[in-house]
Amino acid sequence: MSHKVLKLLALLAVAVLVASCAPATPTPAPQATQPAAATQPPAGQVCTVGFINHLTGDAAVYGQSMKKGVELALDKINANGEKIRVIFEDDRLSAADAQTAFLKLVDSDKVPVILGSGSSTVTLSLCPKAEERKVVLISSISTAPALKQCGDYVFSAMATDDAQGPEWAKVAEYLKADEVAVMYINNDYGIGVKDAFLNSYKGKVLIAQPFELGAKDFRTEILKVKATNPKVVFIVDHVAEGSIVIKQAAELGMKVQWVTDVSMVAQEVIDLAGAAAEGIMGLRAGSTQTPQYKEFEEAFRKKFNEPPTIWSDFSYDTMMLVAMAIDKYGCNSEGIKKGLMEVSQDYVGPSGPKAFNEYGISPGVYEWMIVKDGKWVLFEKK
Amino acid sequence: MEIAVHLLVLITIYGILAISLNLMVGMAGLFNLGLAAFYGIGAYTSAILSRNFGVPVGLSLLAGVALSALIGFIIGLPTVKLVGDYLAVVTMGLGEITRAVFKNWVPVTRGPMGLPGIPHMSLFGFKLDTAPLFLAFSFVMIAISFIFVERIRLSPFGRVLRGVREDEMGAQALGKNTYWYKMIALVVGSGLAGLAGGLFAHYMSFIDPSSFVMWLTFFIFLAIMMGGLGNNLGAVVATGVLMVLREGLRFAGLPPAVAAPLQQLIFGILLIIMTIFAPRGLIPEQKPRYD
Amino acid sequence: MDIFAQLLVNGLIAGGTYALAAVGYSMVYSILKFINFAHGSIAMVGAYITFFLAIQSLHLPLPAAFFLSMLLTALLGISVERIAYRPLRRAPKLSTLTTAIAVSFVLDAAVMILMGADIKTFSLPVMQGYSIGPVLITPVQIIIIGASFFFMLLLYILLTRTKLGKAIRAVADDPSLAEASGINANVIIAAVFGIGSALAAAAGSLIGLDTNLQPTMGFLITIKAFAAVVLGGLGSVYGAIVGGFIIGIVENLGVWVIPPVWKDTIAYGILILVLFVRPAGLFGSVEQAGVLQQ
Repeated sequence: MSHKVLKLLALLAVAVLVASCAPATPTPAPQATQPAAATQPPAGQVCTVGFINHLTGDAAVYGQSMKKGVELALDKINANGEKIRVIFEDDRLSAADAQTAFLKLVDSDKVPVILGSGSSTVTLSLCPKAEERKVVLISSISTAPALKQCGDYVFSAMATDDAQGPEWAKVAEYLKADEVAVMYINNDYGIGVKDAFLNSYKGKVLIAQPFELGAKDFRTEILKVKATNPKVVFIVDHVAEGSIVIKQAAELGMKVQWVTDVSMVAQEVIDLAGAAAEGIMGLRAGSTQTPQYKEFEEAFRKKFNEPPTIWSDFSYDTMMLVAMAIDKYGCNSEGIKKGLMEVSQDYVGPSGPKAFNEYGISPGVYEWMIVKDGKWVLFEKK
Repeated sequence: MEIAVHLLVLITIYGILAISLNLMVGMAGLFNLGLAAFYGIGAYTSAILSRNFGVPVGLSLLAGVALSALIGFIIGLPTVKLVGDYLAVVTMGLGEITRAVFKNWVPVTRGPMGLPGIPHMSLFGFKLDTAPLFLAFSFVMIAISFIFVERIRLSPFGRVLRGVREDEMGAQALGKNTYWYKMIALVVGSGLAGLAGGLFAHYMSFIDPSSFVMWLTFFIFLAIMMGGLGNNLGAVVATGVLMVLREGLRFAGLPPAVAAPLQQLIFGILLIIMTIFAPRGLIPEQKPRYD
Repeated sequence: MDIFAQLLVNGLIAGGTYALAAVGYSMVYSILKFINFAHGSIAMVGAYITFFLAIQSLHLPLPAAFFLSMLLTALLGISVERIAYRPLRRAPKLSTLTTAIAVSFVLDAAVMILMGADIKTFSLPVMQGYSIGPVLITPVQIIIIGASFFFMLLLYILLTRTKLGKAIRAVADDPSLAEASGINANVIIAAVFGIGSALAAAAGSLIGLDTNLQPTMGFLITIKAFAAVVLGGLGSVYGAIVGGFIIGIVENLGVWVIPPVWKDTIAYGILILVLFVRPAGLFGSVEQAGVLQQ
């Protein structure tokens, strides 16, 4: 055989070796044998849980943030001995890779429940598989309205986009704004919120200007909005781009009342936009005034040396809910499915009340926030 | 295990892409960096026709192939006469423009929200709605593609193509119309990429623009490079090896704090090593026996 | 008219960064005839090094961090060339292309591991820009435009007035002849990578100062830089600079009338148009470019 073919076979061998390498932290519990509903031995032993999110690539900042929320929750859950172990998988923001991750977690690690994904598009692509394999899929932050049709194994800890839109309309009403401009990130989330807002808002929309994920220069988009002379501009984004928009808008002399969506109520916006951020309003999903939130924030800062983001709040609560469900009904999908419904009804965590409705989606409870003296604080409604 | 079946399906689909790219790059010397675009056109065409208009899946798949080939033809007309690097750049640009179309033509493609509910592949009324069934089908598809392109490679046409790749002026001196040889390679290659795309759409039942990014084109380039330019079997095997490597790293038990980027890092380093130690690919091109 | 002027200035700001990134790209291409896909990642590393030096650890004053980062990134570029590209000098084009891609994977992943995936900012004071006529522009933005011209001038001096510069041009023109005249091609190539990477670092840092930092910011920088280089003419370093500015301006003007999702398309569109209408670019020569088959 030729030298080169030998090289190839050697490489294959290495690949197989790598692939079959036993994980450094194997689950000690013996594997259950049924292929359908993944089951693991009952309470008293460690339950392995899956996590799929975008841990690399353009959206990694959000996926990593969600991971931190889960890790903080695990500290609390495993404080008296290890009860839950999480296997973190990367979906690379791609439906095909998410499916690979899903199958690995379900077939190889035999998890009864998977936390994920952040992106609605990825979560939606996993829905049919979750239903088919009867594995609970709970997203902390996917908000596409289509999630309602996913089936009863699929949950989301955050209200769908059509909840934020009407809330924005309420803000517009409070501000007595009969004409506004909207800027939105051009993805499923941004479009979803924008559409929901446009449906609820009764006034005139001067312009609905999209902008792109990953871009850095929004000056022309801003000038287009500025040209319509708005007094109030609603903006929906995931932080990275929105913070640049506010900064560049200030530099270009645009003086308006900004109202942001829930993702933008974050420290980064203030860090980047500096003085320009003063006075901007935003929606906060959940509440920062509750003792749960304050306790969570302190613990998060202590562990990670940085303030938590909305992604961490929500994924923290998702993990806690799953842990509570497992506590009640054991480490199996049916139990967790039932348990989640029950334990969520009275649960109020750092990201607010989580009672799942008939679609398995938490309610949309919002606070209004405003930036004052360089910090996001509660907005006092008169 | 279902994950094994899933990976095999992806390997067959990406394998068809590798064969198509091998025809264009490996055999005809056309640096087509816009591969993902043809893949996407095939996927979206087949998806939209079958999902929105109820066209039977077999037919919509063929339509995807045809449209990709047609677009390949249109793009090829002005670009095929460009030299290496420039062709690469133009095709890359066209590929990215196509992806922007997928993302922005919301009434047709639903943009970033993707197309869910794509019907499963069905053969003469028999639905291929489980992964193993689909695998059988996609395996047949890649076998057909392989045989098809191998026949091309071993034919007189293939020989001329190789000549064009090595020394275009020489081929012209011999009176060959090199332009049309390259065009044919491009059109057939694009059609094959469209086939892969259609298969992907009906397997996943869901597509969105994120499946058709530049990264995939790079991945396939790596595969044909590893397998040896012009070597179809090598291309397919290399695709398999790369996929196993990439996904296999999930099982390697890396520390969770940095597992995901670490996988990317390891993958990159392995590729650099492979390229340096086997720059002509791991399997050299087999000269046809009767040459 | 006012808006037009503002759009123009905005275009210069964006264009300045593209131009800086494009110059390094163009130099490498002139010498090695090799498209360095890792160039944007190197720019990104430069930006992060500046951030690290100024904000995260040593708290150096910004200008010091900026220039130190250029130096360190130059060293990085030289190492990358030595480790990943030099062994492939005689290999087919495809291998160097794929290695470059692999290098960008490695750099992106390394930065993500070392610095985290979260967004970093320099937290500079934000203010309304100064009014210059109808146009608003902030100090940082003025610096960006100024820096591009400054480095362009430096490069011109380097290439025309110094021995190193002459050697670089000689190797770019005809490597074997240069070697025959006693120039060590390896050293020159390393120098070119060093200079190119330093300029990339400058571009990256400026982008980071004007906006923010993310480990994945490299890819777009690579694409824009490449479009600028082709527009200006592969092989013409000054053309790359002009190309960068043109792309910045056309993008900013273009998004006024078409949706921003097509913004990158503008860069590609220009690229493609130029290649068909005038393949040598604005300043290249047709023979030197060798764009078309006869």
